[in-house]
Amino acid sequence: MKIEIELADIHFWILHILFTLAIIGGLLYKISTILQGGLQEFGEEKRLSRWHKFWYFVAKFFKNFFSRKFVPIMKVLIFDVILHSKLFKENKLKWLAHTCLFWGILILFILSVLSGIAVEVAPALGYKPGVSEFMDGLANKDNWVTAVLNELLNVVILIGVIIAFVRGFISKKKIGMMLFSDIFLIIFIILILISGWFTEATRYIIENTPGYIAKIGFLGYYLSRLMQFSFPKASADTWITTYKVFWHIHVSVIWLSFVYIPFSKFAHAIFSPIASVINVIEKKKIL
Amino acid sequence: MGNIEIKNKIKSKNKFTARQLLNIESCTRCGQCTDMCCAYDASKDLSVSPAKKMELLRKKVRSGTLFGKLLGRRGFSNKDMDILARAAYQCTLCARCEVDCPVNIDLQKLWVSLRSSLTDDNRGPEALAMLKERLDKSHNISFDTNEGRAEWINQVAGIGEDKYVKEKAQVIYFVGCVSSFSPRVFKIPRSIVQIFKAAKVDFGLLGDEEWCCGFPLLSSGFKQDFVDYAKHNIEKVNNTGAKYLVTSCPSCFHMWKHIYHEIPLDGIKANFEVLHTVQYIYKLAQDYRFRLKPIKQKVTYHDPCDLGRNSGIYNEPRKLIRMIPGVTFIELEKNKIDTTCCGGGGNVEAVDKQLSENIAQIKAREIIKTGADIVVTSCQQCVRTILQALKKENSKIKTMDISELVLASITGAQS
Repeated sequence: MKIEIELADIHFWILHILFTLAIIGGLLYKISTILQGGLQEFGEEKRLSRWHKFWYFVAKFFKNFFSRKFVPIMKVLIFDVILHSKLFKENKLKWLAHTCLFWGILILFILSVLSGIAVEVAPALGYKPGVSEFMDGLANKDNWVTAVLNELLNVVILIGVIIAFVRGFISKKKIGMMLFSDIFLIIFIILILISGWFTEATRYIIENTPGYIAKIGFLGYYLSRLMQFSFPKASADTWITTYKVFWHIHVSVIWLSFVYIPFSKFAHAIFSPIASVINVIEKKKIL
Repeated sequence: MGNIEIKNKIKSKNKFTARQLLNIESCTRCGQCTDMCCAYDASKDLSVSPAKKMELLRKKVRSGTLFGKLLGRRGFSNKDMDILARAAYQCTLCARCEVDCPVNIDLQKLWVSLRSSLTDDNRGPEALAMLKERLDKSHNISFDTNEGRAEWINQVAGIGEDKYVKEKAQVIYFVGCVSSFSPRVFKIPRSIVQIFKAAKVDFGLLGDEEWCCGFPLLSSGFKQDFVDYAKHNIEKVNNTGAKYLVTSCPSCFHMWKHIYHEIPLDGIKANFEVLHTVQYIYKLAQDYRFRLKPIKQKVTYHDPCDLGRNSGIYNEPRKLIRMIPGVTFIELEKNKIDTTCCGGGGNVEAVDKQLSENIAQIKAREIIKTGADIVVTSCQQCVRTILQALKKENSKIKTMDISELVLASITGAQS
């Protein structure tokens, strides 16, 4: 039995739109509070609207990007934003945790968006299965490339979470300023991972996915075997209900995390690259 | 840790820049800045660390937003305000925290803006308010009137009637407040004058027309007053037609070289090149304007924060020391960009003497570890602080400004 319940449900789309609006609203609110600040450090300043300041920074970025500052900007983008070389120099374990979390979440997010497009948007635009192997692979959760990528990224994120957690709690050097809000977010990530594996496991049970296919998503597969072993008398309807519950938990926590991002430590994932570039453009003194 | 008297709160009018607010949101709370902070290292008190300041600053900024107000100021309490106000002035402004920041946050300027905002809130320490009063009255940081600015020169042999306070000169020597008024370091400007004399430099002093460079005002949060001081000083030097302005104080140098250019000065422009005395003396030495006699000593060099990390001058002092025959040069463990503050920066001494002394003690131990006979620096404040700290450690290492070492080599006094 193939289940195609989730994305077709109207309540999903209502919630999806509401949460998306909340995410955009949160980001705009943050940007708006940042733009409350002035443009210069000294002297009286003309009162400028936030909109004006926003375009001032956009214009400044492009003006500097196509100037002699291109090389320093690219250096910052490659070494500080993409590779996090300063973090690597400082602490290899910290760098590993950060890299696992940052790249794991980012690639998984991109993969999920692409899958969403393949499942929902492409058919609505007249796409017929069989035309593109890439699109079909993205739409099929059991495609071995999609399944392996999803599973590996989950494991990578899990490694990042474990290192971050251990460092945060066990490390005697409590100067990393791990706040309650940070722990809250790590809990969100753990919930996303766990609910994801349970969703996948119950899907394998309902769809009766053959072992040689399901094994590609190895964690979900073994979990499904464990669940079936633990509840041998559970009916098909029970598994469908269980699946729906896990799926809704999974999606809800993802949405909540995204809404929470601008107000959490993860805000730096959005603001730090911008700040790094602006700091390089505006820094006048020699360091 | 000493007590700092904090005044009562009034509403703030001084805002952070948008870039600074972005930086506050971008901080990853990695704690790397704290690892490097000399105030934290000396006190082991997390509340003085840059990471804690950043966290409280973020809370403070957020408490002023719409959501912050709706959610009951998001937990920014009066206690938080007190901690932040204290920590802001327990910072030496050495900028070591900036070096390894993964987001390249301009933290030193952020701490200065924090002080400005606290000053506007009337939360600055009493000691700094008094400093401001002194500056308003006499345009220098001492208790003396500005007429006494060039009195240190009276002890220099062979000076003329004008005491080098000239209307026109090719080089203007901007002495700075500490060297002008603190007898303990008078030997620094005196050495510089003697080197200039030996090199036959056409130089002059501004005398009582020299005002404080404004650094104490800026670092205490009085940004607008700072602009007035900058304007006055630039105009006075322009009037002399000088080609070079040289200063022996790294903070004055940093202000002249980097900060004066960043502020709106109503069209006033400096018509001269700004150099630190170490750069100028090195230039004179390269041109063989004086002869250096041997000094058979082991010498180490402490990079002053405002000259090294904040102005990028690392090579000239080292090259100048190595030019002296007989000198064995030893680097400190933490040198150049990684140097730690001597404890004399950021007006910390005025508000928390104990913390300043603890930082200096760490520096003194680092110096002793080198096994050097002389520790040389290019800053009168570092000379003062290190001298005291070495004395407390019962060390026989001599503390000298680089100008004193060069003069000793010219005269052969240390050979």
